[in-house]
Amino acid sequence: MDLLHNLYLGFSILLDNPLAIMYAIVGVLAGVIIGALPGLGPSMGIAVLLPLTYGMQPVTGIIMLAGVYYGAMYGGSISAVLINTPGDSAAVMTTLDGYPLAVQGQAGKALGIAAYASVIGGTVCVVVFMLVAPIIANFAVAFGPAEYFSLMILGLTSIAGMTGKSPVKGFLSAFLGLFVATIGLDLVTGGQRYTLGAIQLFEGIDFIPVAMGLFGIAEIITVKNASSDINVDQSSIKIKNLFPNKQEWKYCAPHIFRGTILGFIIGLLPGAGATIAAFLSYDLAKRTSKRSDLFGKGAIEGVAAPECANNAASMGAMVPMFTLGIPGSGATAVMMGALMMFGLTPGPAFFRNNADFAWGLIASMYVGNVCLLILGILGLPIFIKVLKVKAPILNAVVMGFILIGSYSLNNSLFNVGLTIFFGALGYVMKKLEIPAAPMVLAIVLGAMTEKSLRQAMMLADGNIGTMLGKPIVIVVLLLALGLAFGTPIINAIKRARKSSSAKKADRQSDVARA
Amino acid sequence: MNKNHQIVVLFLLILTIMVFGVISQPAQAQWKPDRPVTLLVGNSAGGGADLFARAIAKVIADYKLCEQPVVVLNKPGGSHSIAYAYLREQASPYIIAVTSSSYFTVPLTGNSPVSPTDFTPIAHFSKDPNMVVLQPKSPFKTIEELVAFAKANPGKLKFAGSSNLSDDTIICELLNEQAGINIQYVPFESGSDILAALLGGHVDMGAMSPAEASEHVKNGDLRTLAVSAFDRYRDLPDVPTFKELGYDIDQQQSRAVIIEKSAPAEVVTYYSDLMKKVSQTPEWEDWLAKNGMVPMFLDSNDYKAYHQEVLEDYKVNVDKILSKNK
Repeated sequence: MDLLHNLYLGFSILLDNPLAIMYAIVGVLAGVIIGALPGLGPSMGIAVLLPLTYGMQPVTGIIMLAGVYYGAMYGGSISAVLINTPGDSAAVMTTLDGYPLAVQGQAGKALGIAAYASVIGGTVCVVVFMLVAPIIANFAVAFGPAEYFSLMILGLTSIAGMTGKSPVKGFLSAFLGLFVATIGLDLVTGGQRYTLGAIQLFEGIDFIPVAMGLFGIAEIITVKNASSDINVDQSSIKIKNLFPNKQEWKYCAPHIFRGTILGFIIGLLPGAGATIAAFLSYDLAKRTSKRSDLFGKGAIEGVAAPECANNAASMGAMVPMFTLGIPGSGATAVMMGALMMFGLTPGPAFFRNNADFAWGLIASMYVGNVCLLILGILGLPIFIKVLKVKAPILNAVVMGFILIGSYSLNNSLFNVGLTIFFGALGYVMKKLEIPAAPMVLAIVLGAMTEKSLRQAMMLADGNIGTMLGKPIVIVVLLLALGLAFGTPIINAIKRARKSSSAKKADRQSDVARA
Repeated sequence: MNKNHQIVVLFLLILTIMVFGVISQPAQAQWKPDRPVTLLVGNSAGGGADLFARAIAKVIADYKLCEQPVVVLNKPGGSHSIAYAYLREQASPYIIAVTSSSYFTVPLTGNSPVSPTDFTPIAHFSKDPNMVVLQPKSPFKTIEELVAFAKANPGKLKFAGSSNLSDDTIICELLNEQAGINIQYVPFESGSDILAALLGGHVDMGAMSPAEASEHVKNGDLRTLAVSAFDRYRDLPDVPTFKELGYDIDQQQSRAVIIEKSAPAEVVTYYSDLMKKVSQTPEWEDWLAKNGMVPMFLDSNDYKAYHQEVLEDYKVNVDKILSKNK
């Protein structure tokens, strides 16, 4: 009852303030555009639009910024599907199946399911956020360095699911990624590692230029090489066809359900965030799907799973931000800066002290997600027009966007060079059929694995037993072991049974013959 | 006598003209920017130094303190040293930069191509007090209890601070040195990581900005040990300073503005005056208070001496830590 009353309060604040609804729409729209541009992610979008909110009421301002956040989460999938370049880091996994779908003339369907999955992920999590935010916030801080280490190990096992045809090539890619993750200053000693004295490398290699190079540039070069145009099936652009059919819903629904829960939980953990949520959700979908062999070749659930997870994670990340003052991602960190600017300090007493504000925001999240759905679906015919542009022109424009995007990351030409370098590397890898996704995942997870391992070892006085002896660590590591070795072991047992039963049968037939 | 008088008068007249001439000369040749001024920041949009720079730019714009627009430019990377290297390389009177602690510490670790001596201080704005807080279930009520436990259990207590060499590291090191104990310092990447580790009880203690800590302290989730500052923190007046507890620890981040060292004196004076005007607005004071910073404005002349003092201080402390790590 209390909850409904609060929600009523929230909606009445919104209705009293029609401008706020307008700004929610403006925020979502800006977010979708920013998300779709390669290199510009939600945190940059929020930072750039922050000055616009200076003159606004706090509620209105934060509603707009939240709109940018979830708009960008969906926007990233647009460029991922249409031009095989993740618009932001959380959309890396969306390229794996989204782009093949586009190549097959199913771009509309892929973007449609991405929009639905995003909105479902977002809306479900608003409800969860509303119900349990203050209670589960404490769960997030139960994760210390040792627990993060085990979580990262779990994440790394998902590489096994991305290796494609050849596990050796997959692991080659992953180890290359782990190597790239070691570049930079050592967190503990401050010593330089593989930096060649270049200060640009001191903070390590950001994985956004890597992803843009490996996916975007490499794709442009290969497409030119193969001179293959994407066929656009005009009929697929009709609104009716943007709704996935019954069969497709059947494929996607369980993955959206699981991806949303997984995404929310990962989002809760500070430092894990939407990108890792999307990785893990894709992996989970691939493992649990009945048609896992179709993944990477255009499985529609391969788009749905990461998309719902990254929107769910963006909601999850708001829980520790509002209730503990711990931002779980770059975007929430900037949002927290905005809150403090408005004189509102997030923390345990936030919901109590700023009830109007908090419930107004929650109500706006419902509105924002509806806006996202409407914009996503109505905008689709426009987005898809991109594919009608002739390949040479489109490629040149995309290349321009990628290079500008990589410059704007740090306002540095160094990143542009880095993007081109990884583009060239990506081309070679494509020709050698080495998958790129394991490398990107290894770069994201590698640095965090090392950081958390070293912190955990320091906290455990160098005693690995103490470090691994924590309950959460044990559970997560067992899960990782199970995922890594479960399938081969089960297969081996099955094979052994088969062969033994086959032998039995042989023997029986031998006996019969004798 | 009369003649002498005339000579004296004449002499005084000439002297007056000369004196006025000398004084009024800079006024006539006073330098003003004739193109937009860049305010350089060493981290990305949304970071601490970035918000600081944007607040300065906003006050300047709102009060129209500068004839030209002041534009914030982010050059993140290398713990801000990419931005400082850019500042030195450009050597332009139209580019100034905001500084944080890494401006002093990173060059001392050998991981920066520039050093503070490459720049001229323009103005010093504020200090960021550091609050040393204890995890929620910490058994220690006073610093004496903590020191006694640490003496009996060397290396057992863990101190969370940001990066491998920062003000936090120095506070931990000074506490170890002055109390004759061995608390283990554990580097984290950001203030929010430290807060998460503290709330989860993964570390025993840590250094935090009072603005970040105060909500949790008031709510009873975190307990405070002491504040590393010149005075008690306004919002948490019950927390003693280290000095009051008998420790010579007041390590704090300086927030300031610098320019490349070849900049002419009148340019430095112009920016110093500009920053002084910024520091005198109520919006600025308000912004500092909201962000847990304590104003300490020094113009370019005063900051020059203090810059040197701070640099020497960092040298001593960083050397201590580096030699210990070896």
